[in-house]
Amino acid sequence: MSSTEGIPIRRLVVHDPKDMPLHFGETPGGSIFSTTPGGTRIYYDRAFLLSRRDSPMTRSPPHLPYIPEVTLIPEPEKSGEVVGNGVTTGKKEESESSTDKTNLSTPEQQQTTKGVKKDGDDQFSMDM
Amino acid sequence: MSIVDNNKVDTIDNQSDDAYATPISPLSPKEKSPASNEQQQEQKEESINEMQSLIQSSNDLTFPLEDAWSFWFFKNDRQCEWKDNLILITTVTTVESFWSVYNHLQLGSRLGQGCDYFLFKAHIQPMWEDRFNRSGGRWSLNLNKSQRATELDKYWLFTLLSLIGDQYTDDAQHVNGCVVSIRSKGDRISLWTKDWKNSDVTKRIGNRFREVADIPRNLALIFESHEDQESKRGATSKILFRA
Repeated sequence: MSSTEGIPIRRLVVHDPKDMPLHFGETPGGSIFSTTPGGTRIYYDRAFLLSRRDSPMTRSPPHLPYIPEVTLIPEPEKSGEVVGNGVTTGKKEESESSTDKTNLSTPEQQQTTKGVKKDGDDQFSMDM
Repeated sequence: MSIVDNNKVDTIDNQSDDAYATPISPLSPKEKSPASNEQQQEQKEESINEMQSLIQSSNDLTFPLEDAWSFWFFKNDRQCEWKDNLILITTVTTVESFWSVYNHLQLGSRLGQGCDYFLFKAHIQPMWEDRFNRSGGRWSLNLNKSQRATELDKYWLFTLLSLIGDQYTDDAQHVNGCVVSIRSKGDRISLWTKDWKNSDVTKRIGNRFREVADIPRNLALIFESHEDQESKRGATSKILFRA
């Protein structure tokens, strides 16, 4: 009867960065992360990932395109980022005419957008 | 490292207590304190501010991810081509940027019918045509309508975390991304793999998927190849594996 043995690994449940063992890898910036036994891949277990959910760095709003009811960020006032036809425009001043070309801007959907704005803002303020 | 920082912080705190002990006296401190004292105090305050910003920056730790991952959103608009309805939301490379994006996205269960979220490795487009997907397939978890409110978001989040956490170990290079599809006939969470003909790897990924996403045994996981789905569009395609 043949027996197989996996690579010996030690599993640690990490709830907080303070729980990280000292011998784990460090990036030049001083961040700590764990690697697989080969030392080449970065692995995080679910408990650790969940523990970082509300860490300070996650609070600043990310740079996302505004998609009504999907990305929970304030609606850009001057259509700085308009999403349509799968194209994201990162330029600051986007003219109204190009906005109208997008499939988000049919009159029907513009109404939806206005209705959604309140909801979006509420949800956003919850995150603050 | 953090222990040393804490020690430093303690020292400064002690000093600052001393520094503040002087002016808080029954006699009006501003008039009585000599100018040199005020200067010293200012210096102390400066160093306290410095320490506070150091403490702040230690909170700003970021944890790098093994792979860069892109969030995509598919919006249901039948007037447009499928590809035109696919929107790249953003790409994340750290645990913190992942959460920052996730925390600002609508929950899957609250998306409109016919919408999808995708999380794919940044170099892979979330479509069959991509060269990494061409020979691939998907492990699918099908959920009914009542499970949308109770279970969908949990399984989806755990699936996302398993990808960014590189939890498929040696098989991670065979995992391309994941999709959540909101449909009136039943929602679906899929894990896309690179090479379905490699059955050992495919089966291992399926078993691991169940484990890392915490999917109970009573919920079936089925595997289909993209090829079969493409040729049998509309009809149900052949189930190649189960996990």
